[in-house]
This record gives sequence, C-alpha cells and structure tokens, in this order.
Amino acid sequence: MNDTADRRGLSALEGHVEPGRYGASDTEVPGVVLDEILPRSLVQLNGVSDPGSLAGVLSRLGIAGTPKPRLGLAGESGDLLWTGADQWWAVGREREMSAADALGLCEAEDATALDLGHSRTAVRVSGPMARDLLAKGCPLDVDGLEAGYCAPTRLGPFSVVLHCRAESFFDLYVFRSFGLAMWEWLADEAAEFGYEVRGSS
Amino acid sequence: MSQPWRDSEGGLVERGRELGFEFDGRALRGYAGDSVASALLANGVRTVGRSFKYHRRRGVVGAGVEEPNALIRLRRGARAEPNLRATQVELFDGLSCTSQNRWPSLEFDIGAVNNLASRLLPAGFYYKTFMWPGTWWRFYEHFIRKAAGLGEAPREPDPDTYAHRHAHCDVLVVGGGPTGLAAAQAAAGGGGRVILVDEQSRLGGGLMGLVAEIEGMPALDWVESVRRKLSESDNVRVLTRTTAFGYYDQNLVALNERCADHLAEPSPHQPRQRLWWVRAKQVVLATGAIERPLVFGGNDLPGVMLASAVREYAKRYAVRCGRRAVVFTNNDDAYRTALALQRQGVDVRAVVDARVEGPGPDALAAVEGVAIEVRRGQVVIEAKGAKSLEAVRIARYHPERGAVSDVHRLGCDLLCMSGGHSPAVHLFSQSQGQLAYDERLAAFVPGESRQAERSAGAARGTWSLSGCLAEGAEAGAAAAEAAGVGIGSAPVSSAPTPGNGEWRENPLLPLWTVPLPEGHRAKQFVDFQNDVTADDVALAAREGYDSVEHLKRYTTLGMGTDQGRTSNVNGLAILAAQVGQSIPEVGTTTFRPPYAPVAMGAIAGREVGVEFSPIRRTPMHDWHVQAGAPFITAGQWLRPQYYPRPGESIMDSINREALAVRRSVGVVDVSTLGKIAVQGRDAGEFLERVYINRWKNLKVGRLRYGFMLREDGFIFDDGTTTRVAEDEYYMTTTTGNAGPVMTHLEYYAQTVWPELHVHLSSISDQWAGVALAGPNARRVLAAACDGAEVGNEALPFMGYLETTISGAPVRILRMTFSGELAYEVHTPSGYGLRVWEALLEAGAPWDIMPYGTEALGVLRIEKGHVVAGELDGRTVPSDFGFDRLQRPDSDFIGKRSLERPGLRKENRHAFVGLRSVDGRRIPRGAQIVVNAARPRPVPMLGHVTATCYSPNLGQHIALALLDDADRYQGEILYAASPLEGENVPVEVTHPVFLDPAGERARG
Repeated sequence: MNDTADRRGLSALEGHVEPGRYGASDTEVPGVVLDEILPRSLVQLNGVSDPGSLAGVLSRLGIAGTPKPRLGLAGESGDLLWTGADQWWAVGREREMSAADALGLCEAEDATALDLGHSRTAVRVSGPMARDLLAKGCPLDVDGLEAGYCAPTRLGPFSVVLHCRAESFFDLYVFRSFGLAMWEWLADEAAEFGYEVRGSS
Repeated sequence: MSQPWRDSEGGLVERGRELGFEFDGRALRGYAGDSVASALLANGVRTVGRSFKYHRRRGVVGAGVEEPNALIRLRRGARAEPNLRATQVELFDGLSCTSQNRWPSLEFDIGAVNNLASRLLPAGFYYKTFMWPGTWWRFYEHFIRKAAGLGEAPREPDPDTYAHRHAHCDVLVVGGGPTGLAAAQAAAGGGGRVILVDEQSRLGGGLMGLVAEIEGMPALDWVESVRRKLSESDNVRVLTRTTAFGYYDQNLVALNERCADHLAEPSPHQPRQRLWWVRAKQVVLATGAIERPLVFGGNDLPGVMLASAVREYAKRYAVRCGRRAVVFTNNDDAYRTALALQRQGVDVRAVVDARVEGPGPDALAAVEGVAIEVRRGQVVIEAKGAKSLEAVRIARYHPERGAVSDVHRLGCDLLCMSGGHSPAVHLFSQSQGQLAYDERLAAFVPGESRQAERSAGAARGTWSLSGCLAEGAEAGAAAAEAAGVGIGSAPVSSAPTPGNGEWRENPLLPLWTVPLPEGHRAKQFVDFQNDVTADDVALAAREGYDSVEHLKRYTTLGMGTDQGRTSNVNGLAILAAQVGQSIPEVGTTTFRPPYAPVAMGAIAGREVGVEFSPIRRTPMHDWHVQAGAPFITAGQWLRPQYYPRPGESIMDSINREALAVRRSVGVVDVSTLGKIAVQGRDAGEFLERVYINRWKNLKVGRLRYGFMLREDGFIFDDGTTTRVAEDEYYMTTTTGNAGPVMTHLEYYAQTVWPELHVHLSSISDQWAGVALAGPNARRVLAAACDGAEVGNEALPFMGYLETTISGAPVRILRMTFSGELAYEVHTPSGYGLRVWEALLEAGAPWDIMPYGTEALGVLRIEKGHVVAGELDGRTVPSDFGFDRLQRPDSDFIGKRSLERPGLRKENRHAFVGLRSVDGRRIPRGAQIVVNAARPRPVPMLGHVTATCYSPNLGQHIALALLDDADRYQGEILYAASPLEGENVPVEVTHPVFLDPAGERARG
C-alpha cells in the first residue's frame, strides 16, 4: 500500500465517500466529523502474553509507552492496539510493516503474526458529538472513556475495535465487508447532530 | 364560548398560546401546556371513549399514566398511533385525535348492545361458549378477532426514525417529583454522574397539584430552582418526557424518551423517540404513587374521577371538571381536592367519608372552615346518569356487617373518588425486589431489594411532603455513597417549611367494594380498561380461579395497555375476601416490563427494512451492481444471483451461464466463503482433532477437502484446507457457517485443548475469492498470471500456488465445485476487483462469462456436490460415501457418536440423483414415495434436497437422500409434493450426473 490515492482505491468505501456537510445544520460546527482512515498495514500478533516482548514493535512504530490490555498506543508512524487476550494489532499508519517484520521484532516465543491489512475498514469519528454518536450503538461507557482506551466491542449491529485516540477522536475498525454498512450507519445516526465528511486520510 | 370549563386565570398553561385541535372531527381550542385530556375537559367533553367489552361511555378518570379510559388514536395516516392516554399527550397546534372502540360514532355506538346483553357475557364467556363444535373455531375466530384488542395500528410504514442510546451513570433517579428532585440534588453533590428522568414534560410531579412551600418559596419555584441547578451541572443529565419502563439485571434500566411526540412532526433529522439503555451503579426509585378508584355501582360513568386528578386539573390546568361535586373517600388526602374545588368556585356538595370517625382534625377544620359538609360513615353506592353523572346514591355504611342502609340521592355532575394510594412499585418489582403488604396503608410497598436500588417517598408509602423530601435527600446521598461518589451525609437544605399543609391524619379505612343494598344490582368496575367488575372477580373465585395469576388470565383483570395500574390492589383484595385469605396471602401478579406501552419503532430503532440485519458486501459488489445482477442474501452477504442480458428470461440467463462454464469458462465471486487462518506448532494436530481427515501428512502447497462433525456425529461443515506453510493452514468454510465454525474452533482451542499451540484468526474479510471454472480455465489463468507457470505439473489438482495477477498477490487453489477444471483465486480484498477484472479481460478470447449463485447451484447439482441442503444437521459422512476420508486410527470430534446404531444401520438414507421421467420439474423439498396414490399414510423413503433444470443434460434433475438407496437404483419412484400438488415420476440414479470419473477436473 503506497500513497493515499492508491490506498483509497483499495477501500471498501471507494466511490461512497462524498466530502460535504450533511444532516442537521442548526449548528455552525458539525456535531460529528467522519473520515475514512487508510493505514498502510495492519498486522495481528497472537500469543503475546507479555507486553514487554513488544518493545521492538513499539520502537519501529515510534511509540513511547507500555502496552496493556484495553489500551491503544499511538506513535509517530503507527499504533499498537490491544484487541483481545494475548492479541495485538500493529497498525502501520505512516510506514508499512509486514507480518514477517512484526514477528521478527516481537520477542514472544509463541507468537504468530498475520497480515490483516485488507480485512478492516477504518473510520475516524471526531467532533463535539462524537461520543453521543458512538453511545447510540456502543454499550461501553462511551461518555466515560479515557483517551487511549482500546477494545473490541459492538457498535449497533457491528463488531468493531474501538480506539479512543483523544478526547473526541475515535478510530473504529470493522470487518471490511461491513465497511459500507457501518459507514451508512454512522452517517444515518449522525444526521441528528449534523456531520461533515472529510474524505480519506 | 371557547373552553367554557377553564378558569379565567391560574394554572400552568400558557394563555398567550392558544392552540387549535380536533377530536372526532370537532374543532376545539386549548392552550400550550395542556394535555389532550385537560383540553377536552376544558371544552366540556365528558365522553372520550367506549369501554372494551360493553362499549359503555367512558370519561377521563386520571391525569397521568394511570388513565385507563381516555385512550385515543392520535394523528392521521402513517403517523397515526392508537391507545395513547389522552392524559399524557401534550397538546400541539393542529393536533388531531379520535376516540376508539366505537362504531359508527362515539355518541351512537352499535357495540353498546353488549351492555344490554351484559348478563349473558360474564367473565370467561368466550372460553365457555366458543369451545364446540371444535371445527367451528375458524368461523368464530373471524368475529372474535375483530372484537378483540383496542385501537387500530396504521397500515403504512412509519415515516419517523427512532434512535437508541447507551448511558452509564453513578446514580439514576427515576421520578422528578419532590422526592426525585431532592434525591438528584443530593446524589449530584459529590460530583458523581447522575441521570434524572421524569415522564412528564416538566419536573415537579405531585407538586403540580399541591399548594405548598419548600425552602421558603412556592413549591414550583423550588422545582424550577432545582431544575436550573441540575441542568447547569456537568455531571447531571435531566431527561423529561422520558419513561423508565424496564428494570433488568445488573441495574440496566430502559428509558423511552419521547423527543418529538409533543410536536406535530419531528424536525428534520430528529428522532421521534429515543430508547435509552442506562447502566446505573445505583438507582433511586422516586416513582410516586397511584390513587386507587373506589368500587361502587356505576363507578365508570363519565364524571367519576380520581380525586388527585381532579385537583391536578384544577391547579395545573385551571380546568373545572364539574360544577357540583361530591368527594367520596376513605382517607384524608381527598379533602385537599374538596378544598381545591371550593377555591375554584365549584359547589362542593359533600365529602362522603366511609370512616365513622371521619378525617383528622386538620382536614376537618379546613373543610368546615369553608362550609363543606362532611358525611361520616357514609358511602356512595351508585353513580347515576344517562350520558354522564347526574347524581349519586349515598348510604350509611356498616363495615362490620358489610352492609348499607338509609339510601338517599344527591345531585352532582362530578364525583371525586379516593380509595387510597398504591406506591408505584412496578420498577421495584421488575428489579426482582420483594413486595411487602403494609396494613396501615392498605398497599404493597417495596420490601427487600435484590439489586442496587432504593425506593423513596410516595414510592415506598411516604405521603407527607416533608417525609418525601427528607427520604429523597437521604436516598440520593446514600446512593451516591454506595456508588463511591458521595459526600458523606445527606444535605438538609431541601426540608420544607413547617406548617405546609401537612395534616394530622386519621388512618385510611380499607374499602375494596362498596356493598349494595339487598336485592340491588349494579356494575361495580374494578378494571375500567378491561371491563372487569367485582362480580366477575367473585365468579372467577367461585369457579376455582383462586390464584391471582389465574384470575388475571380468566377475567383479563390487569391486562391491556393499563396493566392494572389502578385496578390491581382492588382486584386482588376482592379475590382475597372471596377465597377467605389475607391480601398478602393472595399476593400480586408479577409486574413485567414495560411499565407503560412503548412504541415498537423505539424498540426496533434503526434495525428496520433492509437494515434489519447489516449488509455484507464483497469487494466486487459494485461491479455486480453495474452488471445489473439481482442479489440474493446468503447470511448477511449479498450475492449476485445471475447476470441478465436484454431479452432473456431468468431461466435463459441461468442456462446460458451454466452452459458457458461447461463449454468454455466462467467466473464466480466466492469472496463470501469463510476463511480461517490456523497457525501454530500444533495446527496440524488441532485440525486432525476437529476434522475427520488426516492433516499432518498434507504437504505444504497442497490442499484437501474435509468434513467437520458436531459432537453428536452429524456433519457440521465442509470445505478445503490448504497447508500454506509448515505451521500455517488456510481453512475455508461454507459461507453461512463461517461464524459458527470459528466459534466452535475457538471454544476447543481455548477451553478443551489449551495445551495445543494454535492460533485462530478469522480472515474471511482479508481475502476476496474468484472461482475460475471451465475447460478453458487454465488458458485464462495462464494469460492472467504475471508469468507464473500454472500447468498440470506446477499446479496439479488439489495443488496451491502463490503468485501475482496484475501486480496483486494471489493464492491459487486448484479445486472444483462445478466439476470442471477450476481454480479458486484468492487475493487480498483490496485487490478483489482488480483480479476479477483481470480474469475477465484475460478470458475475453474464450468468451468468459461471470455466473451467479443460480448457475453455481445448477453446476454443483449436475456434479452431485453437497451444500447446506444436504449438510442439514441430519447427515453423516457415510451418507455421501465420504466415510473413506475418516481416520480409523485416532480420535476426532464426533467419532464415537458415529458408532451409534441408528447411524450405522444397513438401510440408512444415502445420497442419490433423480431424473425426471416425464420432463416435468422435480418439486423442491418433495418426499420420495413408491406410490403416492396409496392410501394414507404413504411410507416416505426420503426427500429431495436440491432440484434444477440441467441445461447440459437437457432435463430436470435433483439430488435426494433416500432410504435403502442401493435397492432402488435405476427404479422409478415418485417425488411427491402435497404442498405444490405435484407428483413427478423420477428415476433413481448415481448422484454425479456428469463426468463421474472426474476427468474434467483433473485434466
């Protein structure tokens, strides 16, 4: 996956993301902003029970911090997300990382790695009403989530990995085949708050 | 004169905003702040509906959620909604509503003949009458269905949207009356997250019908000051027009917020209602209490109302419910109504108090001070009037012998009744809390809690305002403390000013039915909404329905939208007296959600129509749309069914596609197949335990077809698994079973064999798949691949190759489903469309054709390949001759179950083919019989699992499972479908119709 235009061509939302302002327009600032995000790579590491063995992966992604369950760490070139018991995602945001690279960098003896770069559609939800939008479908305590929180959960009818990047910035990863359906769900549910589509990044 | 029953001043309505509305086509006026009920009463409308069974005239009884009678159909067309309580519907300009359960009109209702025949229609009438002859039920049903149920739902789709919302909080306070406000204020003090909900449009609850002062200001000013303070706090969410209707496990409370019901229609993008799922650490139930009616003759006549409701109409809406009123009570509270009416200028003719000792000194002094006559030890035995109340019959009451004497008549047009109050314990009861009967209050009150909740104020039987405020503050503080966000003690600032209309009261006298004079008959209604009388309850008891649950089902007491809010305690007290038990011994029926009706739309939310289940699309979906393919659902997936060409019928398209594959080459989108990565040192061992096949001996770069069994031995799923590396297998599952297979495997990996080093990952969405099939498939593949060798040696049957097509990485699996020379080309999903188009382009010289699920089905039937229709949970590998794949030496899931005699018997069904003998289509799902004309029951030998017209064979064929299959090979049997009225002669054949030696696939 190379530049943004190429990556956009690979997206499940290709041809369906039309930048613009939609829904309720009674506020100057849209309540929600929806962006598709197009990471360069996504590798799943399984069987990593000791987060300490991820030091090499962290360093490659430019991440300072200690991984732990229910936490996502954002670094200069990518993110490391906890996605389940002994399971982590290395998301190559700025730089691509292959499954073989990731496995080489991981020191856990029993680890396996798998390239899942094409398996998910990723959408960033931001804006003052971002939490209200997500709380429409997510049974977690969305209002109370702290920055960095990351976990597999549910959004309406979709299984997602939710990563709270910052106060009002959330990344959602959904199975690619549901990508357009989730995008439509987000757009429909955001209509009452007014939303802006900024396109892909 | 507009609104002749409205006071010239006062009330909480906005007199500057007069609104027009329509009731049964009649144009009326009201004010903003009115409910439909208050506006109807202000216009002197007394009959608002007809009763369910006897079609009796009914008027407004209550002022809120307890209203059993004033059910209206609101709005017109697609937005029409039946059975709304007029007492809760907020008036808006242009509102249109109609009365229910009457034809042709409210004034002249044909159904009222039921009332004349009411002696023939006792409780259980339907059960007793329509039992026989049994075959007549279908005739009866037509009429009974018409008569059953109240209201009529619109037939058009609902144009509005509904939203859902999850929320978490430290303390949820249900009820925005004095108790709830005090609780919310106290709970929020420590900074914890508090949600306060109230079903009305404004906070205040019972304070809207009271004259009182709190903290030195009028009660409603205090309400406003608390509201402002709470609304301005970041940690508090105040939801009005919101009903807490369900209390579930782990303190999950469901709320229904009516966001736009007070508007003619929702603003653009605004949901009409929002369903909240609130997970609260602690809950305070400040749900108040509901006044009980008194059970006497004709107590359902319009003009007979609950005393507290009349007071609310007077104070909140400035509406007079009558001109000459009588108050009938067994407690002191109703005296406040007498005083409120007197202040309004209504002629209060008497307070009829069943207690010989009458009210406490304060109430007595108050009414005597305004010259209201109190008739102690007397009761109203009957309300009289043609269309509405004209007079009451009053008698001396002898509670010790349950009799009355000295009957006399008193003219009036309003009777305010009060039989005491029942705490609204519905949510408490839903939370599994145990109810306790309080003799002093003659009511059920919350007993032991089962969840993290506490009741306060009137909801636990505390009637005084000071008591409610104190209990609310205490409960709020305690809840916050328990949630870990308390401030240590209950604030005391919300205590009311002393001397605040708080009376020294005399105890209530339980009065469940007012006795009638000897020889006198009258209908004494217990449940207004379901037309259940005291006689019905007595009859049920006599007939042996002596449990309160039986009583409910036999008489319908407490059913319907009302759920016994006003009738419950009266009904079970009457039953208790009949069966000689105490009230707590009889107990109550179980309160279940919803507390008040909830629109189906709110429950469905966005999951309606095609969004009922989310749609899964393959990476080539948009191409299929462009090609004009109709789609069929496969699980949540949409799959192209066929690709029509101009002038073709459906069958033409299917036949063309199926022929193209057999004659040249075709492509089909198989991205929907489930795919699972099985990684780890023990991946091979794991597969051998979950499949019947051998896997450890599979070479890297080869694939194998396998069967997975359930624990009971029946086939669970089938598919190919490829060894892509020493420690990694690439499993495919059927489209529909991808999720269940993944769950099954994870379960075994995590809990049964944790010692195995195996990691499972769903990669169904990582890989798009295209099946390329037909005699020219290899030529097309060679042309498409970026230089890789794909000949028989490099890529033999059941071989595997990794290469690129148009620069996209691909995994090529040589296998077949159609029976032709075929390949499955898998590529990372983002490249799916690119590879699909590259194959089509490379195949152009051979007239390559995309084919859909229909042709796919034809091809597999011709080849006798099994799918879900055969793997239906009742088949085992030997039914298809696949027991040869089974490992005899080691264990696998389901192995021992295969030893069961039923699965091994000689004549057990086996897989066969069928050819139509007379050229007719073989019906789907047909039963296979020797002779359908035989007298019934006809022995059934098996059933058709799949059927099609084979364009390659030029005849109708089918696959079937047939008992004793060897015996019938080559014979003519019948495929009989009573459903389709078909009986088609078929010849039993081998299930592989084409190329039984499999030379095409291996070529």
